[in-house]
Amino acid sequence: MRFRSILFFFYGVFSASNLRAATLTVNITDQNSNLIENAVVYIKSVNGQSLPSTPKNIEVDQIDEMFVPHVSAITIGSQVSFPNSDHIRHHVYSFSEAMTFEIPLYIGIPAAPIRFDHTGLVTLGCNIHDHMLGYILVVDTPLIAEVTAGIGRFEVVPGGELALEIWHPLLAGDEVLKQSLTVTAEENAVLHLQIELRPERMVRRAPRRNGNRY
Amino acid sequence: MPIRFKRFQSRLLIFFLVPLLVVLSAVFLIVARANTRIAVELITLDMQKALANFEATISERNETLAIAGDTLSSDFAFKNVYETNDHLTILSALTNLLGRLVNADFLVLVNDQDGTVIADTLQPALIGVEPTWSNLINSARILDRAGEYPEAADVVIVNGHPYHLTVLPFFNPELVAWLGLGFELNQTFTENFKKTISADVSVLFKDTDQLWHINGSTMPDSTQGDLQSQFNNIPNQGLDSLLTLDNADYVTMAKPISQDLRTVEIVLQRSLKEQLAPYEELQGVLFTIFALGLAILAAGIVFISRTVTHPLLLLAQGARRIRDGDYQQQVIIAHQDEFGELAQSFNGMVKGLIEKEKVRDLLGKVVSPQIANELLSKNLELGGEEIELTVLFCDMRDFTTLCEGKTPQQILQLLNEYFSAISGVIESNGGVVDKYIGDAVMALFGAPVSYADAPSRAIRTALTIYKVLDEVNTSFSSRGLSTVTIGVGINTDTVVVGNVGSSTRLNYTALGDGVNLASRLEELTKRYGVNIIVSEFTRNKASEFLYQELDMVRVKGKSVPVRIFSPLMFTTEATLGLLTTLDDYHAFIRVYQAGNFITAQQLLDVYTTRCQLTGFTPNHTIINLYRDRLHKLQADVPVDWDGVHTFTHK
Repeated sequence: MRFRSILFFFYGVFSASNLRAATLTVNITDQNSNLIENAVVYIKSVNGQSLPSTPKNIEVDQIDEMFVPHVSAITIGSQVSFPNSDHIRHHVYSFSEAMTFEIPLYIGIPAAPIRFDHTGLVTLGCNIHDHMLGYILVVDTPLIAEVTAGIGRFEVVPGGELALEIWHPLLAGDEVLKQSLTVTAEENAVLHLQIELRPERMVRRAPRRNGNRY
Repeated sequence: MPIRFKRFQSRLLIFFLVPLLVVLSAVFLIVARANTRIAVELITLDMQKALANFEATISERNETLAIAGDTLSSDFAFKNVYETNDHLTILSALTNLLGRLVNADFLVLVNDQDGTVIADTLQPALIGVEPTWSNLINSARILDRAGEYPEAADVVIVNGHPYHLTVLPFFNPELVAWLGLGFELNQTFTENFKKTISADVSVLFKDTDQLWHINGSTMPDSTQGDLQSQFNNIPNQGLDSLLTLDNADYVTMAKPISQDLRTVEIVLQRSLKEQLAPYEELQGVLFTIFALGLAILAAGIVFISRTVTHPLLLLAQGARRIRDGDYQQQVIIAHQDEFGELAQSFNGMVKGLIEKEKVRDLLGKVVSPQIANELLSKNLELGGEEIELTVLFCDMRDFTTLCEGKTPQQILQLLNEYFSAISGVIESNGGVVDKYIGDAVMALFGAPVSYADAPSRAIRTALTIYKVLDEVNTSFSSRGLSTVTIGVGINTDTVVVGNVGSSTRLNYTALGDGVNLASRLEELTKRYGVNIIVSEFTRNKASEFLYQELDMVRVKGKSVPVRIFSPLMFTTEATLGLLTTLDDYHAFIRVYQAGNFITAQQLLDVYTTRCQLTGFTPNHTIINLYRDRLHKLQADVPVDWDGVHTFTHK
């Protein structure tokens, strides 16, 4: 199931050189060859060894009744601040196992950020806006690439066997796709991945002017 | 076989009423059938609308439940409750929410991960098992995967009863469970739904043994058993659109309402009889109008036919009266139309008949009725025909004596009395009074009506006349009048019979020597001292009588001799003495005629002696006549004796 979701991958080497550092570009498309957004690619281990990570604090804003960014990836122990940029209050919560919390109705910047001490997916919701949905993926590796316009990049040391994991909200549940590869001593390496995503879930909203509730 | 009507009225009634009755019956039947067809069509149309209404009702309730479900999904308190994973708490929260929902009968929560029941208000003990209606969740999941809002609804069997169940996703904030909201399609549902449509509603469902049950119905209790039976015996082609339940017809429309076809059906029904009630009322009015129309027509026909038959009956009665000889009453029909004209014509005809009858009556009096009829029945034209005829002459001998001292009116009265008696006898024997000649009567037998026994009739008439004459004379005597004697002469011969005279004045009569002879014979009666003399021609054709031969004569104006006889009576009435005496007489006549006068004289003596011996009164006139004649003949015997006595004068 996991691997079936990777429809195919292609590993290409361009511009060979003897430099120590190499750039791994992960190029991800969906089943319709569209470049995808909101995917997270991270290197779980190199040659089977976990990498020490350092916490990194980020913000997940609430703009126009949406979590921005929609998807975030953080290392374990990081803190996330949830500023509210809307003019209305929000009530951010999560019942996820990785982190259960709620910030009752507030406006502006909450008093304290939330620290995430467990790996896993944290699904964010707003108590008063059912359609607000956001994700924070907590991992224990520093090699994280948030994919934008289908592209994610890593600086890697060539020669090691990399255990890549790929996650996207439209993969079923908290499923993670896994892919191993070894980057040779080349300057640039590109990994092409095509994954199968389900359609975005329709969530009921208050009826809009055109009568559409979804 | 053609129908024969005795009455014109019946003919008219049958002619008009039967076709009209056939046409009206056909109209009535066609209207009745059309009404039934239209009623069924209207009910069917109504039911199709009702089914659409049903779908709209369900859709509306579904929407209400969906909104309630969405509200629950958005309820942060419930999200917290859900996260407790405590069955009883979740069940309690669901029960609490159920209390606020008007249109729901139960709520259920099913885990999305393993598809098992988390809590079910209908079956509180149920937990950790897949619901029987998990297909509905799968349908929602399919929608979810297709990017559509994962909401599904269907009619399913829950806990042995049909429910409409709506399944919605429960987000927390991702899809973690499925919320089901159901209401039962039960008695309350059918009763509520019936208020919005014009039909009875039933919900039937099939149990696990494939048997149909009614879960709610607004139909009368007495029909529900039949309805259930019909469902359990549905033929392959499906349920009839017209079901007979409890002996009443119901237009029926059944529709499966679960996606699992033929598990739950809604049945809409309406009594055909109730729908037809206004039509039946209309039919009643129609029937009354038809009946009234027929009655009025029948009355009209009777009236019209009577206006026809009444004058006709009057005319028929008039015709019968005329047939019976009553010409006095006129037929009175107070109409100005053709019948009035007909009555006038009829009365004119009667007037003509009266006049004709007067003529006939007068003619019958002037001539005999037979001749009158003969004259009236044929074209009057001069001329006649030769036929054998017997002519009778009857003459009064002492008319002058009778007339003495009488006024002409008295004489005429006596004569009429006498003629009436004589004529009556003649006519009663089939004779015809040809004419009255002074005090004489001339009668014909054999014309204009032909009789084979005309000579016998004439002789019988003559014999009867004498009996009648006795009565007349008795009457005359009683009035102090002198009696009358008559003589009758009869002859049979071929004579000319016909209309004699001019074209303006005719007389039906007989002419010829034969007629004259009869008259001569009558004249001879006095000479021979007898009442009746018939010629040998008559005598030869009437053998049933006993005759006395009188003579062989040559009458005046005739060269041919003729033997003459006097008829005495019917032969059967004669006594032996008379016959013997008559034989002696006839022996005398033979010898006399043979010219043996001496012997004749002797035989005449024998005869007279015989008469004395037998007591038979002889005809002295004849005896004296012959004694006188013998005396002369013996003195002067003629050389050319032929036995005939020739009369040189009347």
